[in-house]
This record gives sequence, structure tokens and C-alpha cells, in this order.
Amino acid sequence: MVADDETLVRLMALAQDGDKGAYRTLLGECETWLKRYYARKTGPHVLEDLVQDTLISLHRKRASYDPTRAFLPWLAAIARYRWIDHLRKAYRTKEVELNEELAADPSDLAVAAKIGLERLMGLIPEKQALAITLVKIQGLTIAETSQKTGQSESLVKVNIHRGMKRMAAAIEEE
Amino acid sequence: MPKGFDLDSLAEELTPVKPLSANSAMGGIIFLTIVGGIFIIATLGFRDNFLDATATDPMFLIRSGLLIVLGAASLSAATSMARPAVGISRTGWRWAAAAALIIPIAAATAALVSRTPVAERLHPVNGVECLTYSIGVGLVLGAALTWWLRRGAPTSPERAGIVTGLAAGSLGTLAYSMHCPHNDIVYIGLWYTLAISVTTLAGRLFVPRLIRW
Repeated sequence: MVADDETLVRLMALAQDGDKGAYRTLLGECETWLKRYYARKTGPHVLEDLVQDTLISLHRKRASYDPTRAFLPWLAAIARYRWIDHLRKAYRTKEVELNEELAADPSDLAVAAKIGLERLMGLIPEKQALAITLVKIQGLTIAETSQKTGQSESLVKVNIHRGMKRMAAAIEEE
Repeated sequence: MPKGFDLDSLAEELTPVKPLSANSAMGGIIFLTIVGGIFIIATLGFRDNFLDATATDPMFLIRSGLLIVLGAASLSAATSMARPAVGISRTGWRWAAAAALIIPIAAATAALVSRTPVAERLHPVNGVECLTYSIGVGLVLGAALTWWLRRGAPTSPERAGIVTGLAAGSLGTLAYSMHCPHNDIVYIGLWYTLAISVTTLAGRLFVPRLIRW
């Protein structure tokens, strides 16, 4: 169970002031939150890397958090940015199963529905989301995806390209 | 990915930071715009008879007002992009840009039905001076804004580039317009629009690679 947003806001404000103890606690909470956040939308081999990259971004960009605002929407924006960046690098996991066991616990659902990756993918046309899921997340080849979806190979590539572009532009949308 | 990443060492690296303040960034850019305006007045001079006639000329007021609104809307969008959050909407600048488009549209219409040859109304020598100074001041403002955005975490570097260029161009043009002696809609519609378009395009092309993170 991750701490509520109010607690995270307080910890982050302390961290901006240089409180290492508060910061260490915050990083732990964020690590847990991010693992759940990415779980269904990343292969298991890249999850660790992605969480680490995001925590490093959090560290480098910690001045960009406005302590008068909620914390998780800020973290989600950073997380979505890093996620799209990871997808662009077009890694292949070859493992199709995702981290279902890391699914969000019910208390997170209301927030996750608005700021999650599922929501971001819901902002783009279904065909584009499908092509991205199969190739970029589940690691299928273009040819396999083409067979599975009935889209031609070039259409799969176009759909991935357009979908990624649209998602990148929609990072801050709920 | 650094080897041996762990949360303890990341926490150990913590140094205090001052949260980025969008208001002070806006204040800084407005200050630079005023400095730019003073530079223009000092080197080129005010419009003739500024206090008697030109300061109350309707065209001068309309163009200054539009440039201020466009500059403020795009500046506020650009500075706020440094601090991301899911659920923030920053689309106000688009409406300001749409409103400002009335000027080139009116200018094109006026040019079509003009009895005077359009080339005469465009005063190309002055126009090139207008472009040079507006874009020159704009570049300084754009560089300052880019520096600010580099410290932040803009999630759409392309869009941030566009609003940076738009803010830099409209405020740069505003600074130059303190000198600009022309009140002709055709003149303003071409040269002002061109200056702002150039900085916006430059912002879109060059800023994203500087602010990616």
C-alpha cells in the first residue's frame, strides 16, 4: 500500500529542502507505486530498468515539482514521459506475459483510472493502441502483428508511429 | 543506467533545490522585454510625436494590445510547461494565436482591394529593419525561456518549442513596435506576422533538442 498523496506531498516538500531521510522514504514509496503503474504495460525484463530510469528522472527534475499541487499527477507525467521514451527505443522482450500479479490495489484504482497508462492508450485510436501493445509491449514482430490483426505490415508501422506521436503529445491529458 | 543503482545512494546524492517558480520566470521575461524596448528606443528612437498623436492611434493600440495578449498567453503556457502534471490543460495560447491571425487576414484582404500599389505600402527597407530587430530581441527572450525550460521537465518538447518561439516573437515584436512608425494594416500584417512566424518556426526546430530530458 502506497502512502496517500498528502503524505507524498509533504515528503517531497521536505526532500526539496534537502531532507535525505524523507527523500529516502519517498523514493521507496515511488518505487512501489511505479512498479504497479508500469506493470501491465511493460515486459518483466524492462520493468526494473524503467522504474530506475524514472526514479533518476524524478531525482534530476525534482525542482519541477510544485509543492502547492498534488504529487501523483506530477509523478505520473514523469512516468508517462519515460515510458514513451522506453517504447521508442523499441526493445523486444520475447516474453509475452506481463506482470499481472503487480496489478494496482483497489485503493489506487480511482487515481490510476485518470493518470494511468491504460488511460493514455485510451486517448489514441484502438488500432494504433493494439499495434503498439503487440509490438512495443509484448514484443511480437511486425509480421506476427500483421497476421494477428489483419493490418498490413506497413500499416502496422504507420499505426505504431502515429500512436506514439499522439501519446507523446497527450502525456498531460487525463 | 548507472551500475549499482539503489535508492540509498540516490537519497545520499540529494541536495536542496528551490522549486521552479513560473511566476519568477514570467517576471524575468517581462523584464527582458522592457529592457529590449528601452534598447530599441535608445538606438532607433520612439515613434514620431509619440505622446501627441501616435500613442493614441487606434492601429498602434490594437497591435500593441494583440501582441501583449498573445505574448502573455504563450509566455504563461511556456513557463508552466516546465512543471508537468497529468490533468493540466494549457490550450489558452491557441485562442490568443487565433485572435491574432485576424491581422494578417485583414491585411491580405486590404491588399487585394488596395488602390495604391501594395509594394509601396510595404516599405521593404523599413520592413527588413523591423524583422531584424524584432527577431533579434526575440532571440534573446527565446534563449532565456529555453534555459528556463531546460531546468524543468516539459513533457512535450515540440509544443514547448512552439510556444517558446511564439512568446519570444510576439514580445520581441512588441519591443520593436515602440519604434515602428507604420500604422498601415498591410505593413503590419506582413512584417509582424513574418517576424513571429520565423521565431515560432525556429522554436519548433531548435528548442526541442535543447530541452529533452
